[in-house]
Amino acid sequence: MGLFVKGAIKVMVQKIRAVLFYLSVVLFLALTPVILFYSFGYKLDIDRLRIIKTGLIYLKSTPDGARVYLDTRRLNQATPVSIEGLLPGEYTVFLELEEYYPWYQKVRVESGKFTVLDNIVLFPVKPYLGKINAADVDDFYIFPNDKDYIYYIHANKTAISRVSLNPREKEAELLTGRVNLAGNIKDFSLSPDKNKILYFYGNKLDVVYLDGEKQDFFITADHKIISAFWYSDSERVVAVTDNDIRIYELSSQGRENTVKILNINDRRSRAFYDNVEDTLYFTDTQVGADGNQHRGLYRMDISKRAAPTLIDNIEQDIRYNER
Amino acid sequence: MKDNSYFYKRAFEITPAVISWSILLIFLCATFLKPKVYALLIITFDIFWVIRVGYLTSLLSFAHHRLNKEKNKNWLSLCEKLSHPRGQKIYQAVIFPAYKEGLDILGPSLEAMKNTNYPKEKMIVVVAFEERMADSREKAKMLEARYKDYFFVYLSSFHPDNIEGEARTKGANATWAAKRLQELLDSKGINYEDVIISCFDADTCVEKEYFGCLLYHYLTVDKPQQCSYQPIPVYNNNIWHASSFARIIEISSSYFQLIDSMRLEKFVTFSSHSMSFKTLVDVGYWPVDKVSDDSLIYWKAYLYYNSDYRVVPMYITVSMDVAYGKNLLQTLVIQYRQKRRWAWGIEVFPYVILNFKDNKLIPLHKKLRKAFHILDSHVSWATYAMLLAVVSPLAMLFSNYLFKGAVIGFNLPRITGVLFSLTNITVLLWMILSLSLMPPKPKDVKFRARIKIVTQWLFMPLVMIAIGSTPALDAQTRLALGKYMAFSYTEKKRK
Repeated sequence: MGLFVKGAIKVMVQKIRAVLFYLSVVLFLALTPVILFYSFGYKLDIDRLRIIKTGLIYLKSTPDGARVYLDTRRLNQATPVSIEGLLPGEYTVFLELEEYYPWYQKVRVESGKFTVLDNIVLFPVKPYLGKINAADVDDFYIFPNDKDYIYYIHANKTAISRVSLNPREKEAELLTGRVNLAGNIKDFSLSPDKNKILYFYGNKLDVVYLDGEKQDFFITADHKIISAFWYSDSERVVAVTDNDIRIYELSSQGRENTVKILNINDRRSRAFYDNVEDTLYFTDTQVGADGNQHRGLYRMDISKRAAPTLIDNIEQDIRYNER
Repeated sequence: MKDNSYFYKRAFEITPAVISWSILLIFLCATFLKPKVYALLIITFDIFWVIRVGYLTSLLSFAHHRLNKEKNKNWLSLCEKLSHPRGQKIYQAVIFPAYKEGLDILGPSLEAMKNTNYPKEKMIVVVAFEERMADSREKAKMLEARYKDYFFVYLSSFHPDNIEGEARTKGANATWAAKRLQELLDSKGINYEDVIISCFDADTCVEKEYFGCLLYHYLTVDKPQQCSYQPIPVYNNNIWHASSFARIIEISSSYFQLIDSMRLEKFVTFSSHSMSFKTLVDVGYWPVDKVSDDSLIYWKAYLYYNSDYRVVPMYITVSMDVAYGKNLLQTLVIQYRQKRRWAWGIEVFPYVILNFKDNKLIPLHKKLRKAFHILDSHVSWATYAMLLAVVSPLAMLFSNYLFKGAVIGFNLPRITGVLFSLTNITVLLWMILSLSLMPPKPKDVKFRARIKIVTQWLFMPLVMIAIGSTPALDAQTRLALGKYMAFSYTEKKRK
């Protein structure tokens, strides 16, 4: 009896195995052509009973979930979506999402090709609007070296405050209330140690201490200041005027140890200061060997490690050109 | 004539590597030369793979169910109920070929033998040492002192080195021991027909009911001497202490054995197995010059009986050691070498085909089927993982460049992604099944190891890349180049 049952189980298992095997073969034979045709973009046109080669469009929007219209026909799917089985031709794709401006574009579909539009941005009709501060504002700055805060000048131009860019921290912080800012200020700059702000207008350059521990001071240069930069240690200021380049030392309130490092001819010199490397890039005009004025681009290393010869070379070069 | 046979031998040694490399090269060349042909091939292959994995997983579930069902059977009492005239006469002889294994490995294997419920007066144990190992005699003495009183006969054999015609293989050692056993049986007047011989790896620990189960199958199958008896190898001895990486490789090995137990026409002896001692003597013992002695003994018997020989699956486990190292890299190297040795089983292909050529009694369709099965299992081992884990993703990376805006370039990653994730469902099933194959957690193993047992399956893609195809491809290439492998010892480690 036991042997009979054992034999019967064995036969049954082998029968089930055979069924599974043939089922797998049938499944493979049936699925493979269908999936291959689909993968290569072929589609069965039931009306005409023929196989046609189609194209597809892939749409991805930010935010996702936009309703998709293809030539006014609404599709059942939302973005991201791939619209498959499209006959070659031009289609108008229209995206619609509540409370966002709609988006549309004409898209050309080619046979057996795909078009990807995955950088669609939908802008809100009512974008988020939040008031950052309470006081009246004259001007504001977001300094590259302190992107956590927005610094603003009060409307009466006597105070500077800052407020965090994090919307959860709404409290403004008054940094100084004893300035008297002129109307023609050209630029503001925050020191690398985030403790001082400099600004300049005409031939005047003012440095304001934000912690109030030191007294603010004001420099009057001999010439019109075009640009001013912080030296990397936050203790010096590099100023480019329409006549020269100078370095002011803050510890002496700009009165002593002011170095005129280079004379320049360019009345509207463009300058950029890399305060990581303490290198000044600037333009200057010189008379060339042909007797014409030439505007050149220079680099000046004024870091603490700089070799003096480099500056000499520039001076010599400029002097040579001057001759 | 001699030259001709050498030519045929080399031709059949080269064949598997040529097929495997051709498949890989066709895919690779098509990727860059004919991308659309590549897409067609890879999608077809992916569909084939998903359906095959589904089919094999169904077989695994059946086999696993069967294993669970037969786990608690009292096989000895079933044997008694048979009232078979030979039931009381059968001796169980076991050979443990040992090489560098110490007492920490051999001890538990013999202890498991001691704990079986088979009558000990019908059990013969032979521990087969290699004479070239300096500490063999000492180890033998210690084990004899501990176990000789428990069995009808406990024997230690010492296989001499440098016997002409032999290689340094496990098969040579087992054959030497079998000959000593034969002398013993002759001296005691025991018929070979009444002896079932089991050849176990040194780390094999049998279950209490193993020999009862073996006897039951021996007494109930048709032509018992024309069968090998194959238990399901699991790697539970040290599985809780092994790394996740090694664990999933070994669990997968057990799974493949379970799957093969359902495909009887492909089922071949592997690792620890049993057979009639008379058959072993008749076919001339295990091969003494080949690494794959476990599968070759089946083929020797298959040829001897002109195809009227089969492997009977026994849904009872024998437990062995997971091979692992001190760190991931060492584990990877150990596992790679072990799998390469298993993949060296392809050496049976030229042996079988050359013998088929000379044997006119085996029908042609059987020869073709068997040859196809050997090739299919080894070629798929050497190529599938490589195609899935390396060739397929490689083309995805260059998809934009290769397909230049064609619909197939857009659809290919999506379709292969969907097909591949379908196979992940089967990985989930493998994970669930693995829980019931695990032994109880030892006390010294922390609870978080249980979590690892589940999460370890995330390593599956990594395992596929690392040692999926490469050991098999390596072994086939070596065989094709005539760089024959010697038996490499896999270090066993227990905590």
